[in-house]
Amino acid sequence: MKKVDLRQKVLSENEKIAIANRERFAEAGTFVLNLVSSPGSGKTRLIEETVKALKDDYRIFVVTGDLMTENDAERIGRHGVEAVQISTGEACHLDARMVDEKLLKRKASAYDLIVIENVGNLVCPASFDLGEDLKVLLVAVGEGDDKPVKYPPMVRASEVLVITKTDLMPYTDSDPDVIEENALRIKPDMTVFKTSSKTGEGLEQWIDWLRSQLTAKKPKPHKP
Amino acid sequence: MHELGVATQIVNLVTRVVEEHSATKAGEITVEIGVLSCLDSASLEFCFDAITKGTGLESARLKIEKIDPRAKCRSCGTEYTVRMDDFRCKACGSGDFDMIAGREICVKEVEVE
Repeated sequence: MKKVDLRQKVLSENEKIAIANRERFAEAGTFVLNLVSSPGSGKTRLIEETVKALKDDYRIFVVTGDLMTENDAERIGRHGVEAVQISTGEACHLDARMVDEKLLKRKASAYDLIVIENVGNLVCPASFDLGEDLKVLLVAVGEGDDKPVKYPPMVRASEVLVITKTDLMPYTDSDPDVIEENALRIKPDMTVFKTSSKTGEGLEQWIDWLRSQLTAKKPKPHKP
Repeated sequence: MHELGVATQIVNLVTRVVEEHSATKAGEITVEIGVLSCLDSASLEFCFDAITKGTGLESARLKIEKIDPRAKCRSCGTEYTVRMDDFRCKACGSGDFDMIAGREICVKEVEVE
């Protein structure tokens, strides 16, 4: 037997499609977020508040992923933005091909902001690049302050942490500062927001940050 | 998870290497898997065996080398293996570091005959 020295990186099919997606978004100047969390951390609700705040200034497209139902897309669509559902059937995550297919009939350049709501799962979405600019990890007050330590690859893969449901603090022993501390030990350069979509606490900072990111990606957005 | 996709890519890569070296079969395939890649070694081996059964690569086998997550501190320059619950510099505690290993999925070496 002869040994062949290869040292070749294995690029999965997903990575290839993700790279193509990213190039398309870059060309169009479209800013793309991929929201990841456990089920029930408040991704849909945060997206609702986000589109309410930004829809007058930016053209927004939302892609939501779940195993079943069109509930989330319907909820978000009620705010007057385009929203489509990806029903994954059995799959526990979205992949780059699914996102590509949902965009096939659309031009990325028709949007300033694309928000992808991933399937609620803190494991698999960490490994599936969709071509987004940033992954935003949501951890809700009350779901376990040590969540970030339990799922370090997801924390490492995310650039932003949004701690949600801070209005629940009086009813739980949960402490958003501990959630933040646990996440920063794993990824010290994370941008962190503490929000309540119910009371509006912290949403202004989140929206302001989002606006600055949108401006950085495309200085002059087309207003709808 | 995505072990089947990765196994398929390894098979494609090794098939090409076997052809390029005018060989007929492959032996040991050394694969480096970073701990942060979220790839399960047992599942990868299972997928690899399942898709190579009855093919020219049936005799090939995976040798998986796990790669620990490692970082290099930007403040003091120390290179260290990170703890999964605390990635900060072991020497100076700084949170300013670059990851230098731990996410790779790489075919390092292939035996062909």
